[in-house]
Amino acid sequence: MKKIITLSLTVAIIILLLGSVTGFGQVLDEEGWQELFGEQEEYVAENQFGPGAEAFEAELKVFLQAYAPREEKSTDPFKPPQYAWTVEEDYEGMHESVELDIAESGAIEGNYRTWLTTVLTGGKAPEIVWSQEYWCNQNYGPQGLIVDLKPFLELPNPYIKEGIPGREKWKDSFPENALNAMAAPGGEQYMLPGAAVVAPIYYNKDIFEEAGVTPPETWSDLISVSKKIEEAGYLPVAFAGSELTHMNWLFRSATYQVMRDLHEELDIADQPGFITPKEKVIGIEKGLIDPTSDRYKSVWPMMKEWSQYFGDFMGRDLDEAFRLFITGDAAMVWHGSWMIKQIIHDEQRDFDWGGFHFPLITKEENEYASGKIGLVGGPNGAFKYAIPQATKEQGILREAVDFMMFLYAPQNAGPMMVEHGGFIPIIEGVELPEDMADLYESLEPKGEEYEWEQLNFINPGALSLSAQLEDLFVKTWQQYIGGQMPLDQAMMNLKRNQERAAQKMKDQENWDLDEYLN
Amino acid sequence: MQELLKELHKKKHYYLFLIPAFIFLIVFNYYPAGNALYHSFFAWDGVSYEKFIGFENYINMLSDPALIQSTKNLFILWIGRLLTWTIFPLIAASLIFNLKSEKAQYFYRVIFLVPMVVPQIVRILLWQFMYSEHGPINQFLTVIGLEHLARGWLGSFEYALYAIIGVGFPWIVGLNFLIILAGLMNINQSVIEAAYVDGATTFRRFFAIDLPLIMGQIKLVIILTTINVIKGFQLILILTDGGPGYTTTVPGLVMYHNAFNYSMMGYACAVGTILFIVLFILTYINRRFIKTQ
Repeated sequence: MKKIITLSLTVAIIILLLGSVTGFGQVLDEEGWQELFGEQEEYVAENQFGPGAEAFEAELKVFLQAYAPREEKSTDPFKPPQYAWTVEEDYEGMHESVELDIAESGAIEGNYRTWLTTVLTGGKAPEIVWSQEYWCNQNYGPQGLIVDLKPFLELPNPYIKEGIPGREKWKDSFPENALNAMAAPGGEQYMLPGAAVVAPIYYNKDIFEEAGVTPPETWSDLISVSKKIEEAGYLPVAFAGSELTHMNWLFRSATYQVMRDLHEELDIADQPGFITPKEKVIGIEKGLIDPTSDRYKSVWPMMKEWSQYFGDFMGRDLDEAFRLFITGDAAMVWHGSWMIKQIIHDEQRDFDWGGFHFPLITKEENEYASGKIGLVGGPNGAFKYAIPQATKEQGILREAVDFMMFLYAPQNAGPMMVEHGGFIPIIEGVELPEDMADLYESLEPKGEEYEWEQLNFINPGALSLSAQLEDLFVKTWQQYIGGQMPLDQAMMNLKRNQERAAQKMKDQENWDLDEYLN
Repeated sequence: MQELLKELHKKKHYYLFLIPAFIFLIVFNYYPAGNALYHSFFAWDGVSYEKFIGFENYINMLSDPALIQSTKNLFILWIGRLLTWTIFPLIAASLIFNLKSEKAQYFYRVIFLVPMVVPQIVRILLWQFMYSEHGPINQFLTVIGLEHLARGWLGSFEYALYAIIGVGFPWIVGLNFLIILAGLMNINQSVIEAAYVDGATTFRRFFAIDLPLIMGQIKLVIILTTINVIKGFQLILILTDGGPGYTTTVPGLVMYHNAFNYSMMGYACAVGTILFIVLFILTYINRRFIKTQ
C-alpha cells in the first residue's frame, strides 16, 4: 500500500513538473478558452501561443500609424520607419500559415477617426489597429467594437526572453501606472501602452538671446519673456488656435496646478494615486470639479493674458504653427517629442534650439496654485494598439493576440521605437542607444515640483468624459479667448455639458455612486 | 385593374429590365433614408445601443446652441452662394454667348470648365493656403499697402464665414455655367434678330429676352445650389471645422460630428431629416413661384 501511495505521489509530482516546464504549451483550459475565443476558434490544448502555436492560420492586416513603414523618398529629411518589415518577416518565418499585411505609412487618407469608426462598425478594420485610448474608452469599447485585452495580460508572453519581466505574465512587461492611465472607466484594457511622450515648449535660442531673455520658470516669467520677444519684433508663440491640441495642453497644464490640491478629496473610489473617470464623475457630482467655481475659473483670464502674444492664431493649425517656428518667425512652439527628429533634420531651421517645460504658477500669481506642475505627456505615446471585436467573430482573435505579444516583445518593439525616435519606450527590457538615452534624459524634468499628469490627474477639467464635451471646450475656449463670450457664460456652458457627460457615463457604466456622495 | 394587369403582362420584359435599377434605388437611396427617419426617434449609437425616445431628438435640436448658430450661418451662406453661384456663371455664359467667333466661344468655354476636373480636395487645400497667415491674399494686401487688412481669415470671428463664401472666386461654377449657357444657346436666333431689328441694345435684349427665356435654367441652378449648400459641409470641415467657435458651423457639420465623433447617430438622423424637409420646402417654393416661359 505504501509503495502504491509513494508511486502515485511521484507520478503526480512528475506530471506537475512537466506541466510547469511545458507551461507555455497550455495556458488556457477549455473553459478559459471558451470565455476568450468563444466557439469561433476550436480548442487547442497545447502550444496555444508562441513560436510553435498549433492550428494557427490567419491573414492579419496591421496598421502601425507612426511606426508604419515606407520606402525612403529623396525629399525625406531622415530615414522613415522601416523596422516593421523586419518584424513582419520574422513573424511570418515562425508561423507559415499566417500572412501579415502591414499597411504602409500614408495608407489611410482623410480623417483617421472617421475612417476608423466606419471600418470598425463595418467589421472591416485591420486586425491590429492604432487608436487614441480615449476613443476606445469613450466609444469603441462601450459599443463592443474592440476587444478587452485585460484577460490576455494575465497570460505568459512566450516571445519575451527568459529573465525579462513579462515572460511569466505579460502584464509585468508594462509599468502598472501606464496600464492604469490607459484603462477604461470600468477597468477594461482596450489598448496596450508601449511608449511615453513628452510635450516641451521648444524655443529659438537665437531669438531668446536677441531679446535678452531665458526660458521662464514661473507664469509671470512666461508673460514677461513673451512681451520682450514681441518688442524685439518676433512672434512670441506659434499657437494653433484652430484645433484642440494647444488649447487642450494649455488648459490641462494650468488647471492641473490649481486643482492638484483637490487630489486627495477626489481619490476616493479606485486606483489609489490616480484620478479615474469614475472619480471625476464623483467630483463633478460633489461640485469639486465645477467650471463655475473660482478655482476652475481662475486660469481662464491667465490663458487670455498669454494669448495676446499668439498673433492671429484662431485659424492657425499645428502644421502652420510648427512652420512659423522652424522658419525662425516665431520664438516658441509647443509640440511633442515626436517632432525632435524633424527639428534636428529640418533644412529650414538655421538656429539653435532647446526645450523647456510649462512653468510653475506661484501662489502670488494664483491663490489656488499647488506648487506642482503637471506635465503634459505620459505613457500614451504612439506605440499603442487595439484589436477589433471582428477578429473574434472571424475566429482569428488568438492569432491577433499572438502577433500583439510578438510586436510588444522588447526585442521587436524596442528597435521600432528607437528607429522612430519620437517616443520613449516604456516596455521592460528595451535597450536604448546612448545618444537617445541622453536626449530623453535632458527632456526629463528635474525638480520635485514636476509630476506626470497622465499618471496622477490627467485632464483635471474633466473634458475627456466625452468627445462632445471636448468639442464644446474647443468652441467655448475660442469664443472666450476671442472676446465673443464672457467668462461666466462660458463656464456655465461647460458646467451644463459636463454634468450631462457625467450622467451619460454613469448610466453607461452602471455606477451606483451613492456611497461616495453622502 | 384587369386592364392594368393585362398591360403589365404585355410589357413585362420592359419592367423586368427596370427591376435592377429599382432594387439599387431602394437599397442605396430609399432604404438608408427610411432607416434614418426611423432612427431619428431613437437614442442610437449607430452600432448596438438603441432606445426609443420619441421626439426627444427633435426637441433637443431647439436648444442646441451649435444647431441654432449653424442655422443662421446656413442662411447667410445660402444667400451668398445663390448670389455668387448664379450671377457670375450667368455673366460668364452671357459674355461667351455674345461672342461673334465660334472659336473664341469654344476656347473660353474650355477655360471655364477645366477647373471642374481638379479634385475638390485639391481646390479646398489651395484655398486653405490662400487664406493662411502668410498666404497670397495677405501678401498681396501687404504689397499694395493694405497690410492693416491682412489677417488670419479663417480664424476671424468677423470674416471666416465670408471667407468660406469667397472660396471659388470668381465663382464660375462649372455645372451652373453649362446649364445657363445651354439655355442661352437654345434661344431661337430669329427672336434675337428680331430684337436687333427693333433697335434693342445687347443690354436691353439680355433683360427683355434672354433672361426670361432661361428662367427654367436659372430655377434649376437655384435648386442645385440650394441642395449643395444645405447638404454640403466638406469644405467647412477641412477649412475651419466649423470654427472659430460656431462661426462657420452649418447643420450638415453638426450632423457629421454627432454621427462620427459623438456616436449620437439618432440625433444625427434627426438633423438629417429636418435638412431634408427644409430642402423639400425650398425646392417647392422655387418651382411654384419662379415662373418660366
